[in-house]
Amino acid sequence: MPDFYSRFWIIIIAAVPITLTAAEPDPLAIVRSTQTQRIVTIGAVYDSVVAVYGRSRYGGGSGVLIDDTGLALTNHHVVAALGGAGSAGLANGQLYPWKLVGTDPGGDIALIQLISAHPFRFAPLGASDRVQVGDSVMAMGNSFALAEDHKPSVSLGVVSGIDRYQFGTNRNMLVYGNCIQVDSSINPGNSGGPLFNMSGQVIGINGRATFQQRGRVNVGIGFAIPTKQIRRFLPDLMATKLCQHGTLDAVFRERDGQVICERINADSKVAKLGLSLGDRLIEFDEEPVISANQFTNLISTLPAGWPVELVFEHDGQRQARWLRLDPLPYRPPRSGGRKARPDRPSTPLAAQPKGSGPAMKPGKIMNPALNKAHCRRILRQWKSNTFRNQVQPVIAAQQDVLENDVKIGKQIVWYAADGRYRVLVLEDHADGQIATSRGWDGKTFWQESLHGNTIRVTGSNALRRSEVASQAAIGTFAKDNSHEAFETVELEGGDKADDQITYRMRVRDRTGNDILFWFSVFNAAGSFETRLIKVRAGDQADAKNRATVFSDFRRVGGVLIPHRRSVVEGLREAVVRTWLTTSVQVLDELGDGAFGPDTNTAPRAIKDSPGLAGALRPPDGPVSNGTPPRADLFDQAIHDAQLRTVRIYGAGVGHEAGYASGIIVTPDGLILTAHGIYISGKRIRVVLPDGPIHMASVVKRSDALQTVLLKIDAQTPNFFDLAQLGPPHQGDWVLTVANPFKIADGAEPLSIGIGVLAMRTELDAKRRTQDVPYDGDLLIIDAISNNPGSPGGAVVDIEGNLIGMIGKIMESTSTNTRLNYAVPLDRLKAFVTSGVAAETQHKDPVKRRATLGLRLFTLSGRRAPAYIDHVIPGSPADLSGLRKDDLIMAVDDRVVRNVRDYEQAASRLRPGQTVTLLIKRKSEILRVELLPEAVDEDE
Amino acid sequence: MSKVGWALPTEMIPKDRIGAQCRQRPQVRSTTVTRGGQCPPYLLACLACVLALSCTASATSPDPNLGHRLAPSVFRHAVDRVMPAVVTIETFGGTFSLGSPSPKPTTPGTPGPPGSPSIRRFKGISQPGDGPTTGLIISPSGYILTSTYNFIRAPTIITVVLHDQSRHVARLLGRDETRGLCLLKIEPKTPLAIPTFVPRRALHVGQWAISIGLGYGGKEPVISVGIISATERIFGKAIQTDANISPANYGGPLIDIHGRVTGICVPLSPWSQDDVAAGVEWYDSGIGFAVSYPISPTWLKRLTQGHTIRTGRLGILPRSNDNPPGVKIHEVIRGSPAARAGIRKDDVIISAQHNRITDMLTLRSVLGRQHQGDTIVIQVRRGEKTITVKATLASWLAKG
Repeated sequence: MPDFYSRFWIIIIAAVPITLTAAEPDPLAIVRSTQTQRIVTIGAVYDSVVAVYGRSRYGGGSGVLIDDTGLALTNHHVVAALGGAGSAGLANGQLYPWKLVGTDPGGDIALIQLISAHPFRFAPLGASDRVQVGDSVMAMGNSFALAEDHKPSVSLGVVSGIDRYQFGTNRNMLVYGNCIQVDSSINPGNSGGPLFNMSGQVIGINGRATFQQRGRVNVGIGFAIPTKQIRRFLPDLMATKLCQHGTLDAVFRERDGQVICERINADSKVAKLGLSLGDRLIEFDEEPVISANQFTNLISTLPAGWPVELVFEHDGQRQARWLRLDPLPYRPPRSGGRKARPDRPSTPLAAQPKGSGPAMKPGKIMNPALNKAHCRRILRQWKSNTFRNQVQPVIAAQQDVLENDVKIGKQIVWYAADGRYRVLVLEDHADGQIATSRGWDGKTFWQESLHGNTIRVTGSNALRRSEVASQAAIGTFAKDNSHEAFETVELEGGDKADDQITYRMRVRDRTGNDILFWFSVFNAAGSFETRLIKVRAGDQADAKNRATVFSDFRRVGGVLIPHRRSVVEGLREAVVRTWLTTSVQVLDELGDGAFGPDTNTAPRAIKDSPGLAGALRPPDGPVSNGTPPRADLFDQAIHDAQLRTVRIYGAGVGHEAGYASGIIVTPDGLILTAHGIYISGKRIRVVLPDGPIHMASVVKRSDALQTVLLKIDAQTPNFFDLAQLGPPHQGDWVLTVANPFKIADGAEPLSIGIGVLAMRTELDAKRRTQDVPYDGDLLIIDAISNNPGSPGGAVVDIEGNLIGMIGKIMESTSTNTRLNYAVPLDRLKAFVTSGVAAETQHKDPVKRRATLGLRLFTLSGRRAPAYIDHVIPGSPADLSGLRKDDLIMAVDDRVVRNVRDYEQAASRLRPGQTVTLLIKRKSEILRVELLPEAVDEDE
Repeated sequence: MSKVGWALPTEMIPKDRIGAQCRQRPQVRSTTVTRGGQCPPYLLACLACVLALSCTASATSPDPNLGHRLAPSVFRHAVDRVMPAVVTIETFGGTFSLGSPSPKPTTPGTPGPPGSPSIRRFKGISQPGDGPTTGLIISPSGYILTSTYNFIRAPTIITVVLHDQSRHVARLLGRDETRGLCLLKIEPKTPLAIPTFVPRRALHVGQWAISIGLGYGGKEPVISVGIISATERIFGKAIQTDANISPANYGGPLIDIHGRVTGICVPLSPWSQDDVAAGVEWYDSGIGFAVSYPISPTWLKRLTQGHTIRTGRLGILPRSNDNPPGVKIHEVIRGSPAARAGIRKDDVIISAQHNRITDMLTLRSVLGRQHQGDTIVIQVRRGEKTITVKATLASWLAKG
């Protein structure tokens, strides 16, 4: 990438003054330094953004590479529209073929494989659960398919809301649960593209945007599927499955603030576990359930088969049950298909599946060969990650054996990297210490007590015996071409093991023994790093559902060794017994006999000595993901403003939204909002930030400001102080807090947007708006605030001080575009403190009209320029020297574009009030002052 | 940075000098450093690079809070720097009707009608507003660039209000339909302030971008802040930004944090190069375009002479087939450049201007960079043979 590096050098050199002049903080240098950081971050992930096309390059969406072999994430609705294969363009200008790996229609995620002989640059998957409202984010992708060269568009924005739920819109309910709402520009074509945090980690896949009234153009509201959900489905996707989402097969509703089971399938797992109608849901998947919506949010992001704990109240009794979620039924797309309805808000970005998508059966592995290839890759990576050294040492570990956290004995283990091991067990018993030895010398598993009873097991028989099965399985994997030792190796999909997202692999040997392995594959930093988390083999697979779980991984002598091993039971993974490594030592390679049953050649036993404890290395440090400090500049302002902004619901008519936002301005329940249809009905509901609903009455309204003051009968201790007056400057950051498209439901926090103050201007002087008699100046902002539901929302500065209220949706006649504006604070204050009557009567009494004594050339119509056709002798125009064919360009600095403009200006003339005309005479421009004379009213 | 002088047409700086300036930038920076220290420049430059590397590599380098907090003052300062070169354009008279036919082709050399463009659609916007618009001074002698959109009503009189509020009558010279730009000329009594321009290749995706307009009237501009989203859009003619771009700032500059001009805001659409209003439907959507400037001395010369630069067309209808590489021709329009060049039905275009053509989009991309009157080399496969032809692109094709 010579281009990239040459740019990089420019960046480095541009950064030089920053480093050297750090002593005196120059604002420009500091701002440039954050800019440089952003440019470098973008440069690092630029090549990972994919323009996804079908077989032709028309249409398509976006995607992001998540590892160097070419695995890329995109939206299900993108591949559903394109089919199972196509071409993919990267920022380097190259096209690569891609094919579908797996897809999740319910979560709108698909995994595709780009094909190239060379490794790809990729973007790491980050942790979306650390995302907070107000975080800066970057959306990348091929919006509107603008990128002829496949270079993605990058747009900067902030997180407007988290844990949003968007209902499904098509046959298989493309549910967006717990999704991230952003105000960065997300447009058609961005579908499937990544949402990055400012460290360049993928925190979500952009899937949807809300378009309304402006066709398919961004209105500052996009939704991304969080990586937390994607990570749970990634194993199923890599297994080449058509993923299914989980369900309890029961419906819950909110009743009296409780989440109650309303409907239940009598044959469902939960029913058999004791859940009945009317039972109260208390906890789900370790989260307290507070609302039906939140429960839907939680369950919609879990795959079918996911183990969860359900806590509910049945007959006054608290019950805790573990179960695997049932699959939500999947309905294959209808042939012919129904057309997507573009008129409906929240439609997914690209076309809907039309039956042309790949034929798939839910939950089944679609491509066994690819599945096996992924297994091989996981095993290969596990091996290279576990044994990083070329020289494979022998590790000796001393371990305590615990049951119920009580030490019941200890043991010493010698491991070789090839899987050979030897264990000396010393168990405390009532009649003294019992020592047993067992091991594997590479061929034979053996066990002997000190009394000389020796057991020898060979080959696959070992996999059936619980004592040695897990070691035998791992040992087999540690050998080269391990997968060939088994009849079948299959990635089954995702599962939770040891509270982690794991990839469950099923291995069957030639005698039909099933062994299950749970691997963690992508680490917290998003790198492909495999660890073996859990094994179930031999007798462990029996009734008690026992398995071995490994944790506390530390690298010793180049080998990644779990320092804790537990045998666990059931879905709950209740710990039966734990082996805790207390000290570790690296030994030289030992002779072959060292791992055999002959005690004479056994490795030297490690004694408890203080020196050995030093060999226990600290665990690998917390995964470094290079996260720069988070900008929390806006946090307090967002929090404060969200506490003071309310939702308003009333009557709606046709396209006019029956909902809006409002700002609390006094502690006794006075609320300001914008004028709209929602306050015209009898019922005006105000939803306070924490959820309570109150009926409101109109106190007064202002036609001039298009603003209404409402009153609710409630105390509102959190309110905006209208007295705070710090005039904002142009270019200052402004935050909007409002409820566009009523996305925030119940007590959910309102959506935020960030922009700058674009200008303060006097609306009346510069533009007339159709049928909106707004009068006075306003604040124009560049955060999009002209969506249904936004009017009445708060506009605050970075300190959280109110600077204005989002006004009624208006167009500027100057540009004929929708304004993003706010009614300034001082005008709001004047309205709130003014008397009721003063506002309604604002029209001046009729005054006497005046004339200048000139006539315009009107033959070309009123849209023609205002040329003077005739000047009445002795009139003010004549006295000031105006002539025929002069062009009137402005009256009192108000531009006169045509005859109509002049007529409007002339109607405002008053006798005796001097007026200034701007005149063009040939190529000369003149300023002329005139004194209009009164029109004789009798004429 | 020194300002690039752009007096026209004799004082025109050749294109390669801009390139030289760009390449010199690193050097300029390092000599600035030397003034502070006593080391030889190269040594300090090396040291500085290392420092800068550690600065950018360390995860905690810039404090994002401070960077955000100080940004508004930097934006304001940048705006102040460029404002003397930003002008208000007011138009008088003129008509406007929806659905007017395409302008008749004019013979090269004669200026086209001053803005009688076709407006076939106005998605998301009912019709152009009647407010003032924005322009940017590009030469001390009074040449002003602005967006063609601003003259959609074909006004009879155009005036320009300078930063000092002086008002001048302007002449509309040539225009570039492919970039949505046109050139105005006023006759100022004193030389005008001109901005500093940043060449496109010195731009980085992710850098701040501030759009400026005077479309809401008054002396104070309306500004919007975003980043540069892409540096090569619409056939390499425009940069893309997520700052708000709308009729309020069409014709105004898009600047960086130093107050240098990175482009001139215009409505553009990759799908229509003829429709002056195409792209307006994307106003304030986070997808905005700014044409980078300077373009080329000859380009400017053509505009000063009143020429209209139009899209070049070949005159073929491709077959919607799925067997790339190449574009198979379904029909050659009679009398079109393709027909005159001897291209026939069922030929497969495999290369144009020495670029391999894999599908219609690559052909569009190559043709999109050409103008009316440009001659391009095309290779077609006809049966077993490969034929090379030259075609001179036309702007308008009569349906045969």
